Amino acid sequence: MKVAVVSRSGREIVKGGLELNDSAIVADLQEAIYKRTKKFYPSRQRLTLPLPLGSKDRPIVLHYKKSLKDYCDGNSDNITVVFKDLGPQVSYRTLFFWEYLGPLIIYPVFYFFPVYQYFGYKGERVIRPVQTYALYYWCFHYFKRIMETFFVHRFSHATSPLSNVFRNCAYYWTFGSYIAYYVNHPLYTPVSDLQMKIGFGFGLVCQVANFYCHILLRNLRTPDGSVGYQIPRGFLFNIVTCANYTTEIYQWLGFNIATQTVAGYVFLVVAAMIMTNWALAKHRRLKKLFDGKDGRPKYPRRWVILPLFL
Amino acid sequence: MAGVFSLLRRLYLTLYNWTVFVGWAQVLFLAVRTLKESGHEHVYNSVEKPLLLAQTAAVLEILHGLVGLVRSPITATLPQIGSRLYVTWGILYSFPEIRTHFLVSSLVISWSITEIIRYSFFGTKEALGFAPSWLMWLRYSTFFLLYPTGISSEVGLIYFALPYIKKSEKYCVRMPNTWNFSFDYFYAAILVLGVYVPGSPHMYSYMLGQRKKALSKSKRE
Repeated sequence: MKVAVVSRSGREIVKGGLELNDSAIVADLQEAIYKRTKKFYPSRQRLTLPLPLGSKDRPIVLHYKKSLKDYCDGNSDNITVVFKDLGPQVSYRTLFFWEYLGPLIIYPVFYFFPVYQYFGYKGERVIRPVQTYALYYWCFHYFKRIMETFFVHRFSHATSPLSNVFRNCAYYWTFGSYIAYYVNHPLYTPVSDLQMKIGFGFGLVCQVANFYCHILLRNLRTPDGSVGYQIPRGFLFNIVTCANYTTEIYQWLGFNIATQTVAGYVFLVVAAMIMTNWALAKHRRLKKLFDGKDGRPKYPRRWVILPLFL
Repeated sequence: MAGVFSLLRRLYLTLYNWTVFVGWAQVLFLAVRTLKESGHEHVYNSVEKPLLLAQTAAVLEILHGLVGLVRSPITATLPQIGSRLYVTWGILYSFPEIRTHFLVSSLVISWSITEIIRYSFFGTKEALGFAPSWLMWLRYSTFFLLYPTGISSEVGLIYFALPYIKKSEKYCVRMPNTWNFSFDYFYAAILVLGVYVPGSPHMYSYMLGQRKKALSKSKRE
């Protein structure tokens, strides 16, 4: 079949179009486009079916595993696909690794090295027990994240735009430094022993719960990510759609109860806001998909992210 | 019912815009007169009252945008008003040593001319339903000169106030404290100066875009 590849403005991306087997799948088309254009490797390509002019619907994105024939409506000799360049891409694993590596390395620097003399604090620095526990807790948290990135998570997309590396690293590395500066400060004032134990204890329980949530989410997908959306079930997911975000937020709350810094609480609020945005989008998507019609199950009544509030 | 609200809205906005207009007209008049009679060192003292009033009244504009009384996006008004309030209250009001600097005159004159044009433009539009094309031209053209002069004055004043900020320790929070928090107004001021670097071209190009939209729209009408 003949495939015409055009940009959103109608310009031909591949002059003269491409000739593919009738049994070809989208991945074959992506390879062919890459061979011809040399610059656009498959993960950079976003291929959609053309929308009639003025249509407000979201375009149908071609899935790399499906055969091209599935997207032809009747006329299986000719098809036009709309191409969008997503820009340079990195794998999600690469992105997550670099954004988490920053906090994992930067925080111990403030703990182990005489950094504060450069901020004007000369003399001896007394390290309190809570600061040591905070170091272990913090490093365990980001070590866990990196491990989950490589061994637990199954990503819906293989890649993310390269620009996200700079944006996300700026976020994590800046907040990591901001919090590390205050918790390890020579003039740091610890909270009571009881409050510290409650904070770290609660935080650890939530980290374990968070890990279990990640396992449950992983099992919703097959290794090649080809299974579509499913309703998450079991454990806290029966009560709240994004239980993984819930446990993550509470885990940071535990850290802050134990360490008590404004910096830590600011980070908690910002992180909670970001995750709430994601949670709302996911909750809406699942409710829309699982509407109870045509044999699909109906999405049960659940909290979005923070039970009792949202 | 809807008609009454729309009429009330127009009445309120007309009143608001012309009242603040009068404030800024006072600022310009007093600034120029003081410059001629006494010199730049005395300009702040003469304009202080109407300046503080007129500039702080602009906080209402954030409210107007939030409740939908006006169409301006909050993303454009917030940085603009933020920088104005910072320089007015956070620098000029808080650090008297800087008030005698000649940049105060250029600042106050740039701001007041801009605001006189802006408030009369919106005041006329709300009252009559339209604004004369010469006024629209002024509103979307004078920024070519007044943005650079105003921004340079703001940056200059913040920069020259730095030694006074550092010495006074004003607005600083030091450790130790139970919330393990600290704030250094001096370093915050340096951060603000840093924000002006990407912020100024952003605001300037925003106005360029607004100008294109407004002047092409009036051409078509």
